[in-house]
Amino acid sequence: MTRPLISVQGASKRYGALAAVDDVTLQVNVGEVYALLGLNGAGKTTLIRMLLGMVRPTAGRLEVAGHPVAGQSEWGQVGYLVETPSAYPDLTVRENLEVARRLRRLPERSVVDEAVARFGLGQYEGSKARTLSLGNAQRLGLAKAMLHRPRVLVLDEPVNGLDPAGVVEIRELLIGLAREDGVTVLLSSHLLSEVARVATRVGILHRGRLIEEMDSTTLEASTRTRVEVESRHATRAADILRGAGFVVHLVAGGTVVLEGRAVQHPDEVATVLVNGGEPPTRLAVVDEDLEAHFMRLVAEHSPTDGGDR
Amino acid sequence: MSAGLRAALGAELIKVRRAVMLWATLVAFVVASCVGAFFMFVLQDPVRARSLGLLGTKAQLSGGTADWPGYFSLVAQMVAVGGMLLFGMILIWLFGREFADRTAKDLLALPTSRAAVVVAKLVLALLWSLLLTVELVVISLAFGAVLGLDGWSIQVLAHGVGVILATAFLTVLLASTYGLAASWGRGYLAAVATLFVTAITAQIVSAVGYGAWFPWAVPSLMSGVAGPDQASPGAGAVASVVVVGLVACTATVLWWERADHDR
Repeated sequence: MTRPLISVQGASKRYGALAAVDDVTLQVNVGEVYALLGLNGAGKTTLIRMLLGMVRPTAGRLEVAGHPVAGQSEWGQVGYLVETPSAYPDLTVRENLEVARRLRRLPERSVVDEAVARFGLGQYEGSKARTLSLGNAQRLGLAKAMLHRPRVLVLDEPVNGLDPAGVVEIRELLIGLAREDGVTVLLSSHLLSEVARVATRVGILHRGRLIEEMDSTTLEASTRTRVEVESRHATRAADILRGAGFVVHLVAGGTVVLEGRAVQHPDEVATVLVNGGEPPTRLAVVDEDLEAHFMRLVAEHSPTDGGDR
Repeated sequence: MSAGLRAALGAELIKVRRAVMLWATLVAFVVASCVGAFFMFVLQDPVRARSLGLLGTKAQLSGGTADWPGYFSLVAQMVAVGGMLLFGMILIWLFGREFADRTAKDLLALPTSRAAVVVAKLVLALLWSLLLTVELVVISLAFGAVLGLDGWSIQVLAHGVGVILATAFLTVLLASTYGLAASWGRGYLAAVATLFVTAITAQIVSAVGYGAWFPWAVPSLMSGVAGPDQASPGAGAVASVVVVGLVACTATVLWWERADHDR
């Protein structure tokens, strides 16, 4: 069993009557890329700040790199980028990285050169940070976060402001870090398509609560064209379809989701169900992507109950 | 010195080296020393002083005498009054810029502890302020020699420089409260407001004769601003400054360690 490098158990943060984070439990294992999705104010940044020891939880237990966040002594294993990238405007890109190197207590000066090269900052290393575009400022922020080649990366909106080439570059970098170097990544993003490409697991936060977690398989199912079937007895319908060799997921609400050849032959799905004595009450070929899935979930969890946030 | 503090000091020095603030404060104290020397120049020759009109009158009102003890007293007063503003601005800048530039969050989850980062800023502020004081003293000594002031002796030099350095040290201790204000207020505004409130209050409290009871007025009293016939503030007053400074430094460390850094 893999040991989680990030562990959140029943974490809450309340500001008076407002629950910014409400009883969230999640774990991120070694080499996973876990994405937190949520609307503005969902609690993503508060949760990230709690994981980094910047905000003290009202309740719950948080661990990063195998150590409790409170009194954490292993920050050397953690790299992070929170909200908008920031840098000392009067210092050059290289000087900003040098400040980070010293604070991270890295003896090798070469790490700065490596970071400059790795994040394509060579052209700007002598430029003052105040002159950088948002995209290059984001690169500098990521370079600072990864200067020490951390085991755990916590990134808040890591591709914000990057041009399409930069987005692809960061995506490939994160995937490479996770797959090849075993770096554990927790990121938040509002770019759902990016999350679908990068994340091995996704957690959807809404009003401070983690309303759904999906692994990459389910995530993939949520981002593909698939066939959705509803019938009187969903479990029985799923068994019949499995018996006929279809790839079947039974999702919350009693909907049977089929992928693969079912998408090309929805008529065959209907025939199998009718012959099995469980005719479909609804059968549709759906292009639901992660965004649609996300928006549906959020809508389902947005009762006008006057409760927290 | 711990590795963490050394690392934090190294990082702070990189930031300060590029700061306009460093050069602005150095120039400010050069200007202050020129002003002090000009006062002495005016006081040396009353006829010339009268011919200067209002400025000459002001110089006489300072109660100074054109000799080395008077000159050292004037420099000490400049450290007490000007230092409170300049040293205060240094502390406000060191802490406030991290919020203005939104870089404070980059200091919070590092192998270098938050306490080390805060202590490095406080140590740097102390060294920076003492550097400015030494600059002021050295330039003032040069001006005094050029003016040929009377009353020179090693004892006068030692006493004069001792009072100036003690005044500077007490002023820096008090200025640490502005670092706390800049942290607590997460920026410059609250700290600048605190600076003005304490500076104005110190003037008022001193004017009504209760300066020794208000820590922010004590450095001025120590510098001899009340006149040569007035006694220096007692040990209790000096102790109150030390207590305020230590409490402010400790509170700043605790704030960085324990506050919710949610902005």
